[in-house]
Amino acid sequence: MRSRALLALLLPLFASACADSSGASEGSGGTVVVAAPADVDVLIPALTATTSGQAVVQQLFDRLADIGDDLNAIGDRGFRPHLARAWAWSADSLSIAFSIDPRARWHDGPPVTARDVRFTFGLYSDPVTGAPFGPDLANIDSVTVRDSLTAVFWFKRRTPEQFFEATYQMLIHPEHLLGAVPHDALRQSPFGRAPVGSGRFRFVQWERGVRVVIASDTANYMGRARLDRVIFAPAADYPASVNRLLTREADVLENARPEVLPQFAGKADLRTLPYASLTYGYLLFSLHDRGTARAHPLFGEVALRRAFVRALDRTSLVRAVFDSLATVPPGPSPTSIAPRDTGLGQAAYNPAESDRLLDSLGWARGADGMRARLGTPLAFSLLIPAPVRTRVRFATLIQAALKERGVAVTIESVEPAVYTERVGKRAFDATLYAINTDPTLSTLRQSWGGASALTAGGSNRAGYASPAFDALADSAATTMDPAASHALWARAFRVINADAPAIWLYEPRMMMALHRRIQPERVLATQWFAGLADWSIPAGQRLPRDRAILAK
Amino acid sequence: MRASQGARRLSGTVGRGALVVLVVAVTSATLMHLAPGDPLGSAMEGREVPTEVLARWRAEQGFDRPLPVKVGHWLWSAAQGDLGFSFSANRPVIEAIREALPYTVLLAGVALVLGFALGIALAFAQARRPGGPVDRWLGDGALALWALPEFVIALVLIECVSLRMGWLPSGGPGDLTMGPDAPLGVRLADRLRHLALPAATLAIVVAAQVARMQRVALIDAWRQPFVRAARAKGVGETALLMRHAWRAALGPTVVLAGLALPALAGGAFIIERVYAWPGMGSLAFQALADRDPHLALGCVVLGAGLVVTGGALADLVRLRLDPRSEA
Repeated sequence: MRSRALLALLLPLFASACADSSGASEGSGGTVVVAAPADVDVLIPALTATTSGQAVVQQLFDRLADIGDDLNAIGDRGFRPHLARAWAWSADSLSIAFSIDPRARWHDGPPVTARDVRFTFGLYSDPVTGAPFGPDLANIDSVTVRDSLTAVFWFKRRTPEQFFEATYQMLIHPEHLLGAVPHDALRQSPFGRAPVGSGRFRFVQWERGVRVVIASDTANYMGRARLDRVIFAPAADYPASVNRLLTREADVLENARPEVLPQFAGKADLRTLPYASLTYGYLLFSLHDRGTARAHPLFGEVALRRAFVRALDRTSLVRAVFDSLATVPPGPSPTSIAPRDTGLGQAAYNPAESDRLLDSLGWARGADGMRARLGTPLAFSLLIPAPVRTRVRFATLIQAALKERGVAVTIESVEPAVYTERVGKRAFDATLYAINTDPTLSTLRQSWGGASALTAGGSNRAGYASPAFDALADSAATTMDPAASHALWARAFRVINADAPAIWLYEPRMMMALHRRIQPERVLATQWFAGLADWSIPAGQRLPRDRAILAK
Repeated sequence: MRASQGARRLSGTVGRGALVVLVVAVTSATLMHLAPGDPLGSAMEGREVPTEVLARWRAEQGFDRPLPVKVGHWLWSAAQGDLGFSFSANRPVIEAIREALPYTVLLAGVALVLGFALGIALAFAQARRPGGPVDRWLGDGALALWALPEFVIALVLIECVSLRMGWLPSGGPGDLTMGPDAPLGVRLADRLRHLALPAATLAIVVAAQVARMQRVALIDAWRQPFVRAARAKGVGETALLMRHAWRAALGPTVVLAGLALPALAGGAFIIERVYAWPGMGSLAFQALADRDPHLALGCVVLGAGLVVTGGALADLVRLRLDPRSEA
């Protein structure tokens, strides 16, 4: 009896002696190794352009508020407090005052203040910095400091997405560490290789080409990250990343492509997890002749583009390339942010109607079955980036499908750097393009708006210009009522779908492959890594490497 | 007299080597800047980076200047030891090379030592009985390995040794979860485990080349009069082979070593990529994929410098081994 009582006394003592000093509780701990697709570029959020870099900096730095799971970008509905514990709109809605959480600290000790917020806005909005997302802040006039914990955003115009603009792109930077660095020298600064943030993870180590290590900030104002460590390990190519998961050197492969999924079957300790994304791909027509104001000899004609829309069985194409891991998008956006209306005017597959349209345009079939008009064959080149397998497969299938309609397609496969340059200069007939968009339809005004139809290097690669689309998109983007805004967007979708400057082909359903012990709390469509601080590994399932003591 | 001859020869070799490196640098710089494609394109990953931001980045890197200015500026900077700034690696080129080179030197060094040891051993086994079954089998085997692309050997090793048997890791320079506080012995063992497959892949190919070259040289030396004279004096076969014939047969192998080291140090492109080894090969491959002219040029110039140095060193060692070859 006495020995049992002694045991009862000693057991907690023993347990506490065994526990590490990191502040870890039963629910927290463990290491996750992510097989990253590439090394990060720079660890300064204002300058980070790659997805690999974003995956790291978004763990280290904080936004003022986080977008909700429904991805609503209108008003502040659904947004969750983060660095700002509260906010208040002015009566005229032209300013928002954010109250900084007084508990927030930079990882080197000083408190996060409103001055840091003002400094960050200055950093992003200065063209000298070269921040990729800087132009997205064009509607913010200035940021002022009301007191040490209150930053006020002043806007040029009232728009439905003011709150989104203030919070989504900007991660707050420390003024005390970066204030003295000239903006044009930021990229080369040591901070970019060893950053100090305020997030639930703090930076530990970056071995170029090998790994980036981040560790839980155990005293963080938002609560410690549930994982002790996350290691981002880039591999030179995709098969090497897959091998790392198969040999259990890595725990997570964020993009398990359809062709590698069978390799994970039968592996009891691995599983796959589907998640949505904001990526979509399309067959883009150049409506102008090689970037000039002249109409493209083929695709300048809307009826021909409509004939091509009807010539492609997009559901079958998507099935052939992705199996069940993709769907056809309803227009120029992924389904998750597109208007909910069912009738968005996308023409269905109808080869007979396609033939009829082509015949009516004077493209007659010759003896070999291929079409020509006044001696000019109906032929064009399809530009694709060489190493992207999905687009190579799509190109081959589209080539075969259009051949049946008498259209000759030459696939022009070029390396990525050449591809980017040619698309930027609009030096193509048609191309297979894919984009990862923000969770807002407003960006469609840059991608398809007439204002940038002929701008050198503008985002409107097709050179599409429709006053009707522009008017509807402008109205939708400035309408405060979400339902009315969506109705306007639906009408804009109908216009652009009828004009067919592109054929919307696929939106992939992403598949993550991961070790079974890892429990992702949530995986957002905006970015798979957004909720990484809440991922966990149950104590009973941890491996020896999960028990590493946090680096000081 | 001999000393001044040696100095003249050395200065001549250095001068010719410098000229070769300069020609390689000018040609590469011109071609890199002439090649089609946007040097910033692959860094964007399909994001819509605003035109003005891209223009700013291009100006920062000097990509918007005329070709002769770009090439001339780079050469002038390189001559002063500044190889420029790598946009894709986001740091000075010299720093990127400084980080990658030790990995490649380690890999290439181990592969060379293993490859030459194995190749020479095979050559000895073959040269003992030229035309015999051992010679034929080993010769055919070496030829087959030489003919195989390195990446095929690498993929077979990864599939068998890593994925099926689980004996060795499939890539990377070390355990990703190991911290800097791990004991030295543990870190050393871990590095060796990760080095084993890439080094073995390269060593197999090197051994096949060395074995074929060394065998021919050994058989040739075996027939020389001085070997026959030594045999007539009663020197044993093993001593004959080791002390007399091998020394005379080392010349071609030394030249091969002199050229193989820079070739490997310049980057075993495919092998480093397949095994995710962060050395010069991976760096150069990524530089070309990202169309990063400064980084790619840095790698090319370093490779050219190593080839020139390796060739000169091989010549010196060959002269030392066999002064008759000076003529």
